[in-house]
Amino acid sequence: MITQRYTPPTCTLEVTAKQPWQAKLRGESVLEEVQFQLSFDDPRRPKEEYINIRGDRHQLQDLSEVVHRYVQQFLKTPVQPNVIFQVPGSSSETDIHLKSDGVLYHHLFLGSLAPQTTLSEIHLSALQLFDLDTALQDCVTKLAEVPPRETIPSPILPLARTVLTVLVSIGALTGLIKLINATRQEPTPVVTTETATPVTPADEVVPLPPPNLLSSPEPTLKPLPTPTPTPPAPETLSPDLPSVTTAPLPIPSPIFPNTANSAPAPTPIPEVTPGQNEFVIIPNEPAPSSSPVTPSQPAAAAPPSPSQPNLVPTPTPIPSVPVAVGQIPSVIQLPPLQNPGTPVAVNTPPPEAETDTQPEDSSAESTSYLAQLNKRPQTIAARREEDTSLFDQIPQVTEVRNYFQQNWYPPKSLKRSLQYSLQLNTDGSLQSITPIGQPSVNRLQQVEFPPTGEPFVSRLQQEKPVKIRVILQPNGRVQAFLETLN
Amino acid sequence: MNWQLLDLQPEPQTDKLETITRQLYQSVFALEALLENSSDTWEKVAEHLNLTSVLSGWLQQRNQSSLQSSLNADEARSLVLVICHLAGQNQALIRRGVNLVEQLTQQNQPLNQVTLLRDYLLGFSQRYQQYISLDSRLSTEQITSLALKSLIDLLFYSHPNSPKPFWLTLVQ
Repeated sequence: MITQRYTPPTCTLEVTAKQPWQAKLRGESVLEEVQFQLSFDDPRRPKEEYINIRGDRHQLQDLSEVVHRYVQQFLKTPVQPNVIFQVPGSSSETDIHLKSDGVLYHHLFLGSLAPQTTLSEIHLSALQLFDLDTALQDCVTKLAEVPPRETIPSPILPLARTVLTVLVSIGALTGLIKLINATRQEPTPVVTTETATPVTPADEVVPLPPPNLLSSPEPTLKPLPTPTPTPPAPETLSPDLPSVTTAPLPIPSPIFPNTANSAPAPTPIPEVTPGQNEFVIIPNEPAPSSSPVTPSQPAAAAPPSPSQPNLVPTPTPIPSVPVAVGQIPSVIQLPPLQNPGTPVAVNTPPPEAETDTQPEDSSAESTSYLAQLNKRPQTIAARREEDTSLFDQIPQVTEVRNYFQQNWYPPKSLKRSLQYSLQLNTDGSLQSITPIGQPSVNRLQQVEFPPTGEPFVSRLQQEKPVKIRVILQPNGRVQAFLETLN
Repeated sequence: MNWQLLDLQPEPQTDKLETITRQLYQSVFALEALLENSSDTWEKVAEHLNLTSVLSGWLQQRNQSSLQSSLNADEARSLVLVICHLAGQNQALIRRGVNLVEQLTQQNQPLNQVTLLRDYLLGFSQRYQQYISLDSRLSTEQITSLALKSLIDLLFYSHPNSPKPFWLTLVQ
């Protein structure tokens, strides 16, 4: 539970909120169940006259908005000779509203915030109104810096992700080394059985690559000519072996750019060039033969072994999809074994959904392996891809977000989010920028804003200008949402 | 000066500049009366805010106790920043003044029985009368009301985020 207190001299605003444990562990400031208590505890008044009101986040924002709007109106209203001072436009509302009582006093009508039916309004002096407005503005500004609850991306902790990724990578590496050694030492027919056998946990324990893998690739290859029942295998493998040794750590890259045509992620065997496409495809076609791969095959089995080209004579029609590892956060969905003719698409289901569509030899373990890869710490670019929202009310919000995604990179020294309220003209040009909070004011010069007067987003549908709030986070994320439509 | 970065937008209409100037001068008079400002206070604040070049003409006039009838838009913006800065620096004194007004009004006591308020009301009245033309002179009561409203306005302008709302009240 987090409590924040604002204590100008004549009132006390206390805001409490819960911080979800995931956010706490991530070090993020995400709040939920925000509640507030506002005490009108002017020390010039007796304690019996103190008034407390309570409400939730929405009511706090409503109250803040109503009070601030009223103050603006108050400041705008001139004192006119022989006319009772009255701030216009605030007396007809039914819910929370204010009414002036001369220059010095104001009535705050509490509406739904009234603590009792008998107490529906509070008489405020000018000082109390100022303190109330100050506390509410400071509080709401601070709350606005905290992202909404829904933006927590996933419950998996980054640490757990990293650990799992490392474990899986070690497993994959061990399995790979084992397979390569097996391929070299027992060439040809035996290879098929080797690859089919699941890598046992004992295999995974092997911490280092066998020394012969690095030191003597050639000697192991030389005896190859003798067995030779399968003609193509030795020739295809031998030229590749040196390149395998030069890449001792096939840990997949943490960055998965969104290139649609890149090779599938689960193939950490680098440089096995000749049949690279086939590696990915293997699982698809030899349904009868390769399906027996044990379902309990551990993650290390996920990368197709270098000997698999021997298994598959190749003629398989290359299914168009599995090669394309679409978006990073998504999970590759391989086409089902049985009906290769069915249209296959790279879906982007959440990781939980992937299990039911799980196909052949990439097995549950391998998908979890993929899932773990996908959950590795993200780069700024990857984070920004998550920032897109389906809930943008107008297309200009997306365009503004895109602009900042392309033009803003967080300085290393930035510790807090920066927020700016952008007012757009109807022609899509920038009218004004309002920094929210002191850090945003200080960093104003460092943020590259679009030039004024020149449209940088598309023309607005409506006739009135709009306000769009942009939140630039230290981790590179960019959030944008519609503030007001006029 | 990049006004857009300071968010002092929109641009005021030319025919509104005279009204804006008059409203700004009310705050200037209120601050001078409350703080017993000497003219070099304005210069110091303008220099501190790097606004001397924009306000040089106005500062010169203020030194000679004569004020032009209409500021240009940049001068008006600069004066908004200077007033808010000075109000923020002296928030405690402004609070004390407003507090005294509230107390004395509640007690039905005359405001001029307290030195702070008496000096303030007198100083404001003198400056205002000197500024406006003879044919639009106000009664003492009217000037007192204006002085009190200006004092309360200063309280709101003393908030760190006040320049933008202040500007909006002027131009809208």
